[in-house]
Amino acid sequence: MEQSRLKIKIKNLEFKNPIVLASGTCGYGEEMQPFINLNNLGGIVIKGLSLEEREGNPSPRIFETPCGMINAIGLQNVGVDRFIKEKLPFLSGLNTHIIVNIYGEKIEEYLKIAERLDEVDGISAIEVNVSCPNVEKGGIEFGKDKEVVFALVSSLKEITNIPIFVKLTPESDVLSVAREAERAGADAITLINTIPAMVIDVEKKRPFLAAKKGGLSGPCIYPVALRIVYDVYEKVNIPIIGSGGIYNTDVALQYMMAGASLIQIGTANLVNPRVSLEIIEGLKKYAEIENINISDIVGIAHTSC
Amino acid sequence: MKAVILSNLRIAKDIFVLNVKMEKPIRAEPGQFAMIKVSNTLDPYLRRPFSVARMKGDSLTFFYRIVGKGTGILSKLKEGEYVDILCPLGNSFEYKGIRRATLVAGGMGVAPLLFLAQRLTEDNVPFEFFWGAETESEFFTDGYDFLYSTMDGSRGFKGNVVELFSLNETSKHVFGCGPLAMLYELFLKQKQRDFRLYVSVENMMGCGFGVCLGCVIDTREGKKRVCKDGPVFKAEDITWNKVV
Repeated sequence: MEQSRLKIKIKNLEFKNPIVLASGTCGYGEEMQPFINLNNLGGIVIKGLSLEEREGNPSPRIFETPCGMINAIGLQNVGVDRFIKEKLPFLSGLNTHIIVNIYGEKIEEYLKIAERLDEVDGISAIEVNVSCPNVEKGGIEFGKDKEVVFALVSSLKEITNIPIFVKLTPESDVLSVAREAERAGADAITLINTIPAMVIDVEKKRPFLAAKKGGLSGPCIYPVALRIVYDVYEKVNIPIIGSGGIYNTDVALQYMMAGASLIQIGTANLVNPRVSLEIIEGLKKYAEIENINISDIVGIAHTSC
Repeated sequence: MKAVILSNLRIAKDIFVLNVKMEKPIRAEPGQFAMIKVSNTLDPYLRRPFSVARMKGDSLTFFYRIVGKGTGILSKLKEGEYVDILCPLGNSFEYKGIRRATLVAGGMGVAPLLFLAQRLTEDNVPFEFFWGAETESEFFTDGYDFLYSTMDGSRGFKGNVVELFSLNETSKHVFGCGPLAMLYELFLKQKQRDFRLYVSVENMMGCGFGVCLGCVIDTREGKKRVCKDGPVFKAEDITWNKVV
């Protein structure tokens, strides 16, 4: 009964709670099984999926920074066909929303992946990755261009009825891009992907990561991402999915108050694979103490000042 | 899982031995490792990987060298304090059913092989144990009849541990852990002598359980996760020209 206080609706999807594992931090779900019961989550977002299998970037791929990390994995993934054959059967047996993050180098590739996903059951939503900083083509370059985002999202809406979430980069005029995504029919916006960043190996006098640059994530980015959620909330009417350095209940609540309907847990998962469930417990307690439904606080920080 | 520190002692220059008691019993196999959160703070944020070097009931032993901020903080922790540990992680050495083994360690790479030696001893399997380092002060434990090598000749054979290995008669089942360059040399010996070679690989890790893909190594079957598909690999599966 208490659990119902945490329900969140996006389009026709009812989430049992707002907590979702972020793409690239929960593998294909099965890797999390030893640590948590995935059925207790609102949903999980699958690692960025491309049309063909991708090997990703050379090593080193990660570097720890103060209160966070930089990664340049380069979207290593099994490709859509192997995903459907090898990974989806396990995922579709779960009682949680499966959101598939997709990535392409061209618009046609995004569309082909979406077509394949449209043919199968068990996928609740597609999260369109137009914000990966770690690939040469597509990714972030698409996400900076609001016309490309509009074209991509409207084409996706034409070919599938699966709800479309669009994951944006902070390295853009994010307000305009978010509005274009909404105008193109996006069902929600995920804010934000990792922040483009780099570190240099002083001894070797060259970038530490093999890909030179990467994406910064972890607690160090949460105030930046939170501000973006807050600003975009005032400009769009579709739900926002907050993502960026969320590591405890307090920060999750801040994101919801700023305007996020769902909360993605990313880097924090790598440190504590149980943190998502701990935050769900925290939200539950908060909702009980405040005697509210958690959806009541979405965007509340805008009205109370 | 919470673990209480039983002892955390300096045993050589910058090298420590950490003994912990897990909150609940676990079952680890030689080659498996733990991800330890050395503090509750956000900096350092990520866990650090450590090979299990010994297991007795619900207590685990790790050896570590201070290499940075995380291990520096760990070295200051005292008996009775708590750390959070994910363990066991990764795969393990395949040693069941063998009649004789050869262990080859480079520096701190001895840690997982100590656990293997413990199990081989329990199973009454004879083995020889080679251990190489730059200099004598890097040897920090005894308990086995190590065949030592040092680059400066301060203890045992003067030269690297793979040279010492190749001067001796060894078994058909070789287990190695140490720097990649050393493991590669060991692999080259496999071509000269006929033996089965398993190597345990070290890498920087984000999560330790296979989701972040930060620690991959090139293999004949593409990039594999050191933390989840490894850390133990058949030497011939690694594409050494991409790795070394």
